[in-house]
Amino acid sequence: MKHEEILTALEEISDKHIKEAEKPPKKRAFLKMAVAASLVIAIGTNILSAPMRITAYAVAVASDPRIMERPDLDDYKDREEWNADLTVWETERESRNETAAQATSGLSSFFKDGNSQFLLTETNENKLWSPVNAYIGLAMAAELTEGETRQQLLDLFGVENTDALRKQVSAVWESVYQDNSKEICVLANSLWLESGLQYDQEAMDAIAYHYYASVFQGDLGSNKINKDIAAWINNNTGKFLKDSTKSIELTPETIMALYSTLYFQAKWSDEFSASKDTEGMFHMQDGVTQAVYMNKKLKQMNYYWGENFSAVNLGLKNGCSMWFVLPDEGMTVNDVLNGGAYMEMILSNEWEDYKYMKVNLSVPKFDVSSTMDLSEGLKNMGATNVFYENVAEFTKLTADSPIYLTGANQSVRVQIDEEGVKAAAYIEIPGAGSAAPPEEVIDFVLDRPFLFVITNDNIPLFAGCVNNPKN
Amino acid sequence: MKLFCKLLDNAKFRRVFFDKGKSYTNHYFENAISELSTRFGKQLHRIAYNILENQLDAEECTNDTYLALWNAIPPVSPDPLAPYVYRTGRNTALKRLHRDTAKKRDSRYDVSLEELNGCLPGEDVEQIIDARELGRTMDRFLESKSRESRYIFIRRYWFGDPVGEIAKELKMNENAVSVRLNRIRNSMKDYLMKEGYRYEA
Repeated sequence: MKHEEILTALEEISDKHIKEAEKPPKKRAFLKMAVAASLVIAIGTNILSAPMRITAYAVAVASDPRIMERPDLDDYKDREEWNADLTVWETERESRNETAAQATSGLSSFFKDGNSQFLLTETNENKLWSPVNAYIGLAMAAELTEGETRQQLLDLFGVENTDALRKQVSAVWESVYQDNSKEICVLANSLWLESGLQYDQEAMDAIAYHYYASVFQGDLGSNKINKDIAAWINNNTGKFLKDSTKSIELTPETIMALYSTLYFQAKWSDEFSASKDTEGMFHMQDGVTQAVYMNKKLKQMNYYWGENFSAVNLGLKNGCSMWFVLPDEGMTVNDVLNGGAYMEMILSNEWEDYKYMKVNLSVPKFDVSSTMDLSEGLKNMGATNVFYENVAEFTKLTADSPIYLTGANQSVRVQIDEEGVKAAAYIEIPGAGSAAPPEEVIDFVLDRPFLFVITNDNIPLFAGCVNNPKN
Repeated sequence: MKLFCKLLDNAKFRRVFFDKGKSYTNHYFENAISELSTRFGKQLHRIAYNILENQLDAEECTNDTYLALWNAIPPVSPDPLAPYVYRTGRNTALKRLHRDTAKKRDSRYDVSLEELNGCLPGEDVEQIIDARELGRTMDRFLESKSRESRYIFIRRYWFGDPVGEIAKELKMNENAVSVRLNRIRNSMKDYLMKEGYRYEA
């Protein structure tokens, strides 16, 4: 670039940063970000055990995050010592990111197939799921199983054995997790066992360590435990799913319930201005509805295209991004999902069909939620045994009784507005193509059903099909 | 006027600047310059010297900056004040540098800009860069860095400080600051690529 242009760019450095640079720092600031979703898995048995009135207590406590905290200069007297620790911290972070990148490549077909299984729809219903949330919950289930049941789940995640799975989960968990006073991306897991269930303490400790899960035991199906679970989810999802958690009611047949939460909240890197909002029609699969559109005129950005779709990608301040995938005129979201190429665009860094250009962007504000049973889709993807009585091998959990998964319900809510994105998911498994754009400026108007995917690097945190922005 | 009272927290400064409309006298002007000099003189001189590399030029430039500020405030009422003062000083020095073609090339400031240029995207037929947009993206990137990293970056590329000066302020050795600058630039390049800027392979 010419020096004049660099100087023009430097003129945009904000006042607060210039003022801050008047004096050398004493304190460091942190990034901003927060994320949330929740996954619940519960396992039931056909044998009714007599409920025992035992208050839930911690069988094992979730491990503290094994993420080295960035060394704070203020905690050091000697700068060289701080520098040495900083180097260790940077090396550890690089290694974690590398492991996470490898883990993602094994998971890409799970994420892609999942989208096709869970987002297809012929109605005006919104379909949402949290791939990473479902993954972590099911990985915990895999840890508790043996034999073919476990093998099917390992195959689903593209890993060879539980050691590899543990490394994969830790890498994904640690690369997504952030929690400081300003930015939060909190993943939390918990396992709830029926009182009286004889469990393998070693397996519970492994769950607590490798999956960062807490294990509780109590009278599943009782009001007290239902409330305990709802409170645990609300606590870990910033109460964003409180409408869904009201209805948590485990049946007395349930002998184990597994909950995993992920809470997400982030601001757009470049926020929309509420003063530019417009009202307009949104053309659903069946009928029309009124929507409020957030607009950006002549915004310079990458515009992507593929067979049957075009897409843009909006950055979030926490380093995550949100993809909007719009089917071409005459095509449907289902056509795009069946084609599958859009996931390649999102998960790989080698997509060539894009152009940096001016885009007139119109995105409807939405606050959508959905609850669905993932079990049929998971069976179609190859994880069958875990759902069948007398076939599922939950022998790592307990030798007490033949148990199996009776469902896998996931609740997800995603909200976007001028400032940013807020999302949470909650899953329960109860037991018992286009051509290149011809113009220099293109209108990208999401006024008909579209797909979105929120990603952290290449890990999809949430994916959804918005058929009606008014939910 | 009330705004400035709050901003400056300095009754004397307020009086000399904001009463000038009522009583524009040499006395007030001198007072204003004196206040500016006490409060911002050192930094303004440092900015000017970083860009012009000549004591005399830097002194003249600093005086020009005082005059420019005197003329601008009010009606302009910048909040916060300090960045506005530094921007004025920097622009005054840059204008002077560009006026003097002999110093236009290879000045110390140019070297720092060239250093920064290494991590910025290049323009070609397929990529037209809006410098202001790029600057805003850079600012967002800086927001994500630690306070110390921001300090190093802004002192080096905005104030034009030599690496040695920054190292002295932070009580670090020069090499450590150079390494940090290199890391920040690499990290910014990654960030800009993520934001959609393309670089030649």
